[in-house]
Amino acid sequence: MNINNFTEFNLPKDAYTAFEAETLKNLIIARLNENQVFRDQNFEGSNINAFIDIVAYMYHVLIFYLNSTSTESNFTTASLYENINRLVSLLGYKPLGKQTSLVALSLSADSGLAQNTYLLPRFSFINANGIPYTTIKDISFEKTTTGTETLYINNNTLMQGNIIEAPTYAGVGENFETYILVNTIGVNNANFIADNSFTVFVLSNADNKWYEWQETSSLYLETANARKYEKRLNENGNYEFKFGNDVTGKSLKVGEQVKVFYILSDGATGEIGAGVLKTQKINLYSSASFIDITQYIYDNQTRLITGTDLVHLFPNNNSKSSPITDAETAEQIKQNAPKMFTTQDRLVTQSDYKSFITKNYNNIIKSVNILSNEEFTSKYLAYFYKIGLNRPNEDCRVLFNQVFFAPSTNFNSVYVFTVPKISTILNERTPNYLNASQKQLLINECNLKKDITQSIVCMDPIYKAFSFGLQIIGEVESVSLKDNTYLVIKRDINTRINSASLKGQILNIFKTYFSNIQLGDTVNLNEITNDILNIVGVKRVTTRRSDTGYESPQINYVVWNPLYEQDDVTFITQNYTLDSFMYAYFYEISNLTNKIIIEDE
Amino acid sequence: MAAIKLNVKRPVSPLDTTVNDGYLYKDIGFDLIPHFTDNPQLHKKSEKNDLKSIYDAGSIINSVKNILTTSPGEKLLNPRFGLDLRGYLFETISESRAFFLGTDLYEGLTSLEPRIVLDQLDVLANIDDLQYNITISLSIPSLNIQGLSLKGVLNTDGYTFV
Repeated sequence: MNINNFTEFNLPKDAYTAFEAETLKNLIIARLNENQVFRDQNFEGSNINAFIDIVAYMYHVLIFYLNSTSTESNFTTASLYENINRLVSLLGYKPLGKQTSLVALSLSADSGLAQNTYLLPRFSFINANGIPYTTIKDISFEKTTTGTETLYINNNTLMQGNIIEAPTYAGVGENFETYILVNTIGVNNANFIADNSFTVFVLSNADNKWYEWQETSSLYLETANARKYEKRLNENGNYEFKFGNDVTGKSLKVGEQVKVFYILSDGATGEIGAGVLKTQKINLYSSASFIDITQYIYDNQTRLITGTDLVHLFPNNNSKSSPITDAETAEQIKQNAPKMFTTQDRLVTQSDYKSFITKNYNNIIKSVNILSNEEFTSKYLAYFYKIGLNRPNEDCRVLFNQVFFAPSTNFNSVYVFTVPKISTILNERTPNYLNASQKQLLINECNLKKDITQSIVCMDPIYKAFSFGLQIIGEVESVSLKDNTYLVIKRDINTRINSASLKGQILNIFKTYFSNIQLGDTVNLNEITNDILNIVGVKRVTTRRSDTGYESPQINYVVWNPLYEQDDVTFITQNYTLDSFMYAYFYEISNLTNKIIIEDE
Repeated sequence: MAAIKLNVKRPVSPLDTTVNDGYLYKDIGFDLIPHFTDNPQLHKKSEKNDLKSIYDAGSIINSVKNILTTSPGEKLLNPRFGLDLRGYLFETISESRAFFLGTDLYEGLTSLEPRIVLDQLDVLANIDDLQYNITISLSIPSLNIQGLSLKGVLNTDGYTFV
């Protein structure tokens, strides 16, 4: 066909992008008017006008889909989870799935357990009134005395849910063979497969023994014989396990059996309060396949806890479990994937460390910040000087971490400040920290990727407690002033909201705000005040001293370091900016409703 | 600058073709029937096939019918096109309603079909049969046609032409 015979439309090359139904209709009508084949296109009642409507509308819809498709194939503009998930796979990014509740286990033993070093096998579980909590790692400890003893355990994290064995998969011997654990649980079901709860065993053809294979961030970083796999939550919500090719990572051989164990969480119904595990007993996981595997993964020297030992072990949880966490959303993936990509699986800059730790330890770490040695001395140690310590290194937390983790020289140290996800604040009063084994685990993992000259030291942040506190001019700054300070809510006399409901709403505002605080944040007290004032029926808020009756026409707070409450206490009414190593919490937040007075006016 | 070319001949002038073709208005037939001529297979001549068209008064009457049988919102790109005659089906039949129906018809037809002039519009409320009998008398000045009459009935079946 010779296009020279065609008449011309003088349209820009990209004119189609601006076409919508109305424009196209006008163009068609204009074109028909030019050639006069039909005449009635100009009249809305004509058949051809209706026909043009349909054509233009169809074009409009098709252009919409074309735009959507084009948009969804581009990382910066894609918005659907499935597309984002696939796009970031090109960067090697692995989106996070749902995470189950965690609880910190403390363990003690009575005199019935002899002095020895023991190992409580993985998958052991505690059934707390029908809510199972399971350890996915072995717990080792040493009983050092003959009497009752609180045990120092290397791993204290229990995951909520039951251990499930996926159907055995037989390898077909392909390079980079992928086993897909199909998620058959409906999206509306409260139960879910907990991410980061997988344990993979492979029965080797070579010696007919079970071996545990470890997860790796990328098979391309592994050697030919490395028993490693890559795990990825794919766009369909299934977990993919990819094995190597005997060049980068060991491959699966024909007929080799793969056994995947994972935690099936009960969802939000599995969350428990402090002390719930106290009256419970530990149970050993004893499926036939796991017992078979056990004989290969533990050596004969290991003294495994047996059923008879269990009656001498007493678990407890001093704090409530962490809440379940939703899977990464498309928006979060878009934010996190470039950060992970820029690290290139190496830890060099502060943001590299922060991204790596946030991504890989989000089940135990709520917030993380990284300080160089210069920042450490000029900010962190300076803080102790500022509050009056002559020798900051003798602060118990600083000393503890220096002794455990710091090398002989400090100039090349990278200081990692972490806030634990579970039991961040004990009894809503006392700050808590990552335990030594968790810190060591973090350091060990970081050591594999860090710059050779860097030395990682885990440090504990400075916690700042907040409460209502009103200081009258001339009074000595003292945390005890909080005991006589109350938040007064002036309620509109015409409103129907009752006091309990109002107090509950205010409590929620504080809980929500402080649960999202990160290290180094600015505590936006104005935002809290605005949120309270936005509650229907609240006219204004004041702060009142019950002992003097003095009232301030705003919300007054006292901020202090609970470990040095005599030396570090401040009274504020405006936003409070934390240093990068500081973390804020509201002191005795559940008691907050007792600190609120509702008055009608 | 891109060039989109269509295989259509450009006419010399609309007025010329109107005169030459012998019609002023041309629309496609509602049923999209192909138009063909009696052309024997033996010595078959080459000819242009197209959809069957309707011309002049036929196309205008068809347009009026479209207006009467379309409710606002039904036309994809012009939701204000059509007359909301269904609204009258949920009211009791009465003379006063017949008056308002007539007003609606008059305003709707004159605004949506500028090619016609309404000479007379009779709306009779037939209370016994629960229907309105409608007679529309119209002229088409551009075609010099007078005295066209369209009769219809509005009842529970909708608007039907008789």
